[in-house]
Amino acid sequence: MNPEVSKKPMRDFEVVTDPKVIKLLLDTTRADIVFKYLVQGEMTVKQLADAMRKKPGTILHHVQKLKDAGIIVLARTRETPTGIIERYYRATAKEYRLGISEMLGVQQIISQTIDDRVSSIVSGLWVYGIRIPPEERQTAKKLLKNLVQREEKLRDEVPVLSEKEHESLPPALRSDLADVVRQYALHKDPQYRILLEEWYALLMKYHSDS
Amino acid sequence: MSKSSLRTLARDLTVAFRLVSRNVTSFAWAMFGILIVTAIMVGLLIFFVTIPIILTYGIQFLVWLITLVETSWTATSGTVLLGILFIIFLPLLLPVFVALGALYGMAREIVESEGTSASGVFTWYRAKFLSLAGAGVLQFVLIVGPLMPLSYFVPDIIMGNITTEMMALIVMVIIVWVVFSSGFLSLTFPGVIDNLSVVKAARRSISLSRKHVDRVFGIWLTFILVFAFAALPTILGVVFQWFSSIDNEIIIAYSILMLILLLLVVLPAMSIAQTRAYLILSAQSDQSFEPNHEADEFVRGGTYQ
Repeated sequence: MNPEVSKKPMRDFEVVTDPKVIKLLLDTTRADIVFKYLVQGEMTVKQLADAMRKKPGTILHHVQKLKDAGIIVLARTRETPTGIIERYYRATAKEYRLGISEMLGVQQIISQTIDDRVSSIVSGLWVYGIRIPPEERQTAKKLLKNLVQREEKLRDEVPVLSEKEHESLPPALRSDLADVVRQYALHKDPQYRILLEEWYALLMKYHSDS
Repeated sequence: MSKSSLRTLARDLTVAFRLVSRNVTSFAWAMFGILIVTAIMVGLLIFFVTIPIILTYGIQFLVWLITLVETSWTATSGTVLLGILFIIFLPLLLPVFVALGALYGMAREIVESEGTSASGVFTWYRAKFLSLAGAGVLQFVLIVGPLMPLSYFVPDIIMGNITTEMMALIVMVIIVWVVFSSGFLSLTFPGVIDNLSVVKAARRSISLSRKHVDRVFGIWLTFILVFAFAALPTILGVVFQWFSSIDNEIIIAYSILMLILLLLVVLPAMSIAQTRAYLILSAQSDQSFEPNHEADEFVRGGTYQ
């Protein structure tokens, strides 16, 4: 039967592994719909069309494809006083990672993205008075990359005892709880703690205040 | 029908006609374009069917085929004859089904996002061509198929060997079956536009019609009455024949006016009303209906598969 009720709350994080979905998200309009708007909250086709300055019909076609792929869901339906039937869509998670070990090509693109991010961070630290010398930059990048990857891994592994109870909580509280528990999980992990200490030591070494 | 059902029907119809009036230009251009495309498609289908037959079997085969149909018409094999006509005409109806279905795509854009454009109809036409054609064929087979046994009476009807009472009974059976079966399937096109498969869309249409018989059939029967009022005197010439004093020019003017109204107002309004009903009822089916105010109803929806 369609539509099927989904009471599942918005997840904090989701790894997309289906190559078909990844391919779908390579389209810039669809990527914007998901990553720019629907991860923030519920929106109608009209609101998306207005925000993106595109025709509602075009957005509707994209939204249907994303809904079929399971990357977005129908959150609620509302009839306005003028008789318009507004369907509110939202993303299934607040944040996505393309976990694409199945697709080597895409994996390379994503690795490149992480490398780029890490590289930009290390190079940009000087604005905070942290000037890492060129000979140390490679070490800094490697360290930060390991730290980010460890963080991502641990974020996926935070268990919830009762999914039902968790779903019954207000979304804002769920988000706050997730942040607190995630910090706790990171603090408990010895490997993460070592990486963090090394990273902080490096930052302190080259911080102008030190 | 209860008072609340009548109020709901009145609102469904009012909203549908109001939305049509706001988008009448888009619908006019879309209709114009879609009629041309449909005519070209039907023409191409006829061309690509008859030309290979003539090239392969010669013109004599076509003559033989027409003779066979003529012979069958007067013989007792009414079922075979209707079967042949069924097979010949069904493919020709495909572009019409798709055109009608694409209209529901425009209706969906209007109902969900307040606006559409004439070009929108062609996007749906292209994107959903096979699904809409399939939905049309399925509805046609489900509505017309069960009437095939009645073809047993065709030769008797042609030869005039049937009583008036019997004829009236046959006509009644046909009308009742067509109206109710098509009513149950009336939400199939909105389902296909909602990305359901053809079979799922038909199933869902039947399911929603059974659960909300007053709303679905309220809309359907109202439009059937409008179509009957507009088209019956024109097509059959029944009513006007009784008034011999009415000039042919008036009848022609009436026919043209009705045709324009049907294409530009009634058909779009029906697609909008049914699409609205589909969106509301499918949301109601999945979660409890949460009315906020009289005209500001809030429905919890769900994930579509």
